[in-house]
Parts: sequence; C-alpha cells; structure tokens
Amino acid sequence: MAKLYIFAIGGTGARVVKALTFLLASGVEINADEVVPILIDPDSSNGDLSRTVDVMNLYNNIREKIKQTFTLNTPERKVNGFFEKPIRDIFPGFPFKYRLNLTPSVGLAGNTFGNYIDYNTIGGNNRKLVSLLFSGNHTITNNKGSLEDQDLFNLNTAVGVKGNPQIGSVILNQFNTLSFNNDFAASFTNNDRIMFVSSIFGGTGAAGFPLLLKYLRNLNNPAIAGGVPNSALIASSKIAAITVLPYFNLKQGEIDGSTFIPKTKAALEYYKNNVGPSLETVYYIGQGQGLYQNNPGDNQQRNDAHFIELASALSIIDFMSIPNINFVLDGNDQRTTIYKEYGLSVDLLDGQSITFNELGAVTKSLIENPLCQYRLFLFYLQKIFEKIKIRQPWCQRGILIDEDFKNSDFVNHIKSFNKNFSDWFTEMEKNKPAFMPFNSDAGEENVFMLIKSIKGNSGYKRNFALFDDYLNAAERHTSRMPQEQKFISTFYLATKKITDKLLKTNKN
Amino acid sequence: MNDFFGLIYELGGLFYIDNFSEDLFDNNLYLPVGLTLFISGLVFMAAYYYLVNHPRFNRWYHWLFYIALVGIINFLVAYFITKNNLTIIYENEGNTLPYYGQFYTFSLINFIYTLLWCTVVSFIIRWGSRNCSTTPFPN
Repeated sequence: MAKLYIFAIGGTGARVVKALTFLLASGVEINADEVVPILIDPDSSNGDLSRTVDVMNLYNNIREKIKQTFTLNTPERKVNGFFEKPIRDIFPGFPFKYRLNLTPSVGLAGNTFGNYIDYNTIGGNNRKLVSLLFSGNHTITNNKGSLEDQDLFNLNTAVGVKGNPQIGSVILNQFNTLSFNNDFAASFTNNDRIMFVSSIFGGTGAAGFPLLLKYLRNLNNPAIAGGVPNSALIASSKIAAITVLPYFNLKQGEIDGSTFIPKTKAALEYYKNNVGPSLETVYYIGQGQGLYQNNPGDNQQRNDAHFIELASALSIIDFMSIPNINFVLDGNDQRTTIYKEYGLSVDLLDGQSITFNELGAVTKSLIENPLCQYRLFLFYLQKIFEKIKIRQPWCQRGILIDEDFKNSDFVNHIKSFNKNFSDWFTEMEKNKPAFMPFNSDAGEENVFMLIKSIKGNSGYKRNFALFDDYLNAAERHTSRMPQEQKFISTFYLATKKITDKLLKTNKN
Repeated sequence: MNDFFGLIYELGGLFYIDNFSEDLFDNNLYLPVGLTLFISGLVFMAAYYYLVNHPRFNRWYHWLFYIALVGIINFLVAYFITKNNLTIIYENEGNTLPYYGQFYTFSLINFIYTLLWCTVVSFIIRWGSRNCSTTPFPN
C-alpha cells in the first residue's frame, strides 16, 4: 500500500474531504497507508474549508492517542477500526494546516484581481488584450444591502473567485512557485497515488484542477520540473479525478447560479479532450439541484452537507481499490482512461430519501456496517455516557474509565468530533435527496431502531442493556490497554458484534 | 460430614445452644441443613453470575437483595428441617418438644452463614461473568 494525495479544490473539495474523514473515522476501509489531503482555496476563511480543517484536526488529536491499537489488528481480526487511517498534514504550520499556502497576495483582504495581475501597470496593447480576456462584471452586495455590478478587476480575491473560473485559472496558476514542491513532492514515493476533487461548475475547482493536473503531468519535462524532487515519479503516477457536476443551485445573490450549467457544458467539452487523457480514472457525479443560500465566500460559505459529497468520497476509496494492472497504457504510452459514474440501486421516487437499502451492493457492503457502528457509538455517548455514572464492568475492570476520563481532553475531542458527525448527517437528512439511514426519533426505549434497516430487538436484554452486554464482553479483549485505547477499542468491538448480529438477523 | 457441619454451626462453642445443638448433632440434622446451604449457595450464585448475568441487575444492592433471598430460603430450610425432624423425634419418644426460640436462633445463624457463603462463592466464580464480574464491588 502507499499514500494517497488528495488535492481538494474549492468548497466542494473541502466538503468531500470532510465526508471522507467521517467515513475513515467510522472504519470504512481504504487501500492506502496514509491519506494526505491538500486543500486548495484562495479563500482561506471559507466556512466549508474551516469546518473540514477542524474535523481533520479533531480526527488526528483522537487518533494520536489510540494509534497503538492498530498495531494489534490482524487480517483475521481487528481490535479497532475507528480512526484507523492516518490523515497526514504536510503543511503543519499555522495558519495553513492541510492547506496549500497560496502566495501572500492572494487571500488577503483588500486585494483585488486587478492588483493581483498589476492591471494598472500594464500598458498599450497588452492592457487591451487583458481587458478583452477578463471583461465582465461580478455582483457585490453594497452598503445598502442591495446587489450591484462591479468590474471583474475589482473582484476581491480574499473571498475566492465567486464562480469565475477565468479568474481562478490566473490566481491558481502558481503551483510551480509554491513551497508545496518541497512539502508535497519531496514526500512522494513510488506507488503513491493522486486524486483531484473539485466541482466543475464553480470558480476555484473548475479552474484549479486542470491547471494543477497539467503541471504535475509536465513534471517529466526537465524545463518545467526544475529542482522539484521526485518529478518523474509524480508525472507518471496514477492520477484520478472526481468531477462534481452541478448538484445545487443558488438563490439570487453575488454568485450567478444560472451560469452553472453553461459553464459545466463548456468545461466538460474541454475536459474530454484535454483533461481525461491525462488521468487513469475520471469519476463524474451529479444530480438534480436543490436550492442553497447564495454565500459568496468567507466564513459565510458553509453549505449543507449533501449525499453527493459522500458518494464523491466513495469514489476516492474506489480509486484506491483499483489494481495497477487495470490501468492500461497503449503502444504510444497513452492512457486508457476509465470513466465511472455513480448510481443508486433504484430510481428514487419524488421525495423519497436514501437509506442503506437504496445503495448499490458494493457501496452498501462498504459503508453500512462502519457507519452503523459509529452511529451507535455516538448514540451511546450522547444518551448514556455523558449523562450518568457508568458502573458497568467495562468501565470498572482493569484500566478504569472513570469520571476524570469523562472530563478529559480526549473525550472532549470525541464529543466535538461527534457533534460534527451528527451535524453532517443532519444536513444530509435535510438536503434533497435526503440521506436518512438512521431514525432521528430513536431513544433509550428503542435504541436499535436507530438503524432503519433493523426492526428493533426483543429478548432478555434490550436496548442499552444489550449494548452494555456487548461492551462488557468486548472489554475482555481490551482491559489492559491504556484508557483512550481501551475506550475506543471496546466500543469498536462491541458495535461490530452488534451490527454484525442485528444486520444479519434482519437479512434472514 | 455431620461432624464437619457441626463444627461450623457451633463454631467452637460460640453458637452452641444448650441441648438443642446436641439434638441436631445426634440426629444428623446439621448435614441436610449444611448441604442445602452449600449447594444452594453454589447453584444460586452460579445462576446469578452466569444465567441472570444482566447489565441492569449488577449493582451491589441487586446482589445484596439476591443473596438475602437465598438467605431467606436457607433460613426457612433450617427452620423447617430442624423443627419437623425434632418434632417427630420427640413425639415418637412421647415427649413434648422443649424448643421454641432455638429454631429461630439456629435459622438466623444459617441465614448469616448463607450470606457469608454466597459472598465467598461470588468472589470465587464472578471473574467469568460477562456483566457481573465487578459485582458486588470491583477489586
């Protein structure tokens, strides 16, 4: 196995990485030793970006305390699968955690696109040419709160490119000058793979993806590679892209949502001839459009999570599952690109939500058990662990899980992570089509009704008593571990048994 | 066996009850009472730790309630075995049974021994119980 570098461009890229982080936290398998997200967005205060960085920070804080458990995993039996894969930050310096540090002139308040290209100093015919290339307006909200058109040269790049890929293609065209050559390229090894995640209908992703791809593939040219380490390896590496087609539209505002479809058509035509052949695999994904608030950028851009982002994250996992032998080069060293789309197992009726039963068989087998496991873990913590003193053997045997532990930083990190996890699901439930595999009205009297595909449990031990029964059994395997490891592993083993049994029972 | 249980129940004279203890010993009545205590303690506590074995019935007060029930059963066993047997014996001899409160005293001793025995058994067998291995209290 090897590392997976994910270039997540723009708000969509950040949201897909967030979805992937939740999948990895749940224990969804990915055929990679490490996941290395590289978030690219000139709008460094983008709300979606910030949320994703927060979630990954929490993930790593939690993982750091429990990583010893993974050394005990064997192919036959896992002691812990929660938070298993490392998510590595190759830009650890504040404030650019996980983020590519674009040149200082981009992303600073008050910097306009005109300033960025020194428009005022360009003279003569060049100025006319630039004016022609970037003619047009963008919309801003003025002091009175109404919308007003402004020249594109006055676009403030501190809050992104507001859906203007022609601007994005200029300000993102700086990969060869970035420190990322050292941070990214130096760590690249043989068999590492690269995945691009971007939308095709916005500004940042649509522009940044082809630029960066072209740069990486051209690294086998010494004139371009310069002193970039591992340039030949990178240029010939296995690269895939998930191109997210329009899956939402925007209410009237600073970004013109009506251009999404025309921009998509134009970009698809360009990708067909100029982008696809450079990739091993291309994933296209999209669906009918819901209506979002028009948030132009900055911390206002916090779009609700959508099932499309989850499905996009699955394409990353799919790419890593494809063996090298499936990527074919013809006699002229041209790639035979694999094109993939995502679909459900059924046609959704109007207003129908997606549960695990509507997913395809491969997707279902990949995510159903892990997501159910993590949701049960979260549910126990919310309903029982945080509220009452636990007096069960799994807390009292061996290493104690006591009140001090409940108030520790570790548990607080888990609570914060779980809050994000809950919000993520709540947002997907509110979106269209809703992804609703869990019952939001499940309570202490019907714990296992939480999972829609389970009809509940009857018998001598029920609900949280049954849950505790499994925790007490699981703790036999974890009682000698340090607190944090014991805590997570016990829940992993217990929820694994519960989901294996209840989901299997339900199928029979 | 009767000698053994006699030793236990009389505890070197501490729980010796004039004449009554001798009657129990001479008529081998320590044996059924003691065996019942021994076996019921094992069976009931094994049932608690491995059959009942419930996460919502594993606190110290659940356990105390349970062994108190076993104690009451053994109290009654001691009372009725001794009283019925001695009544028959004395009636056969044409005598009136000379004991009244002694039955209660002996049954109370049996009750206390039951609690002690159940506690000992609990700590011996609880380790393998899934949900009650820290009952009545953790080590």
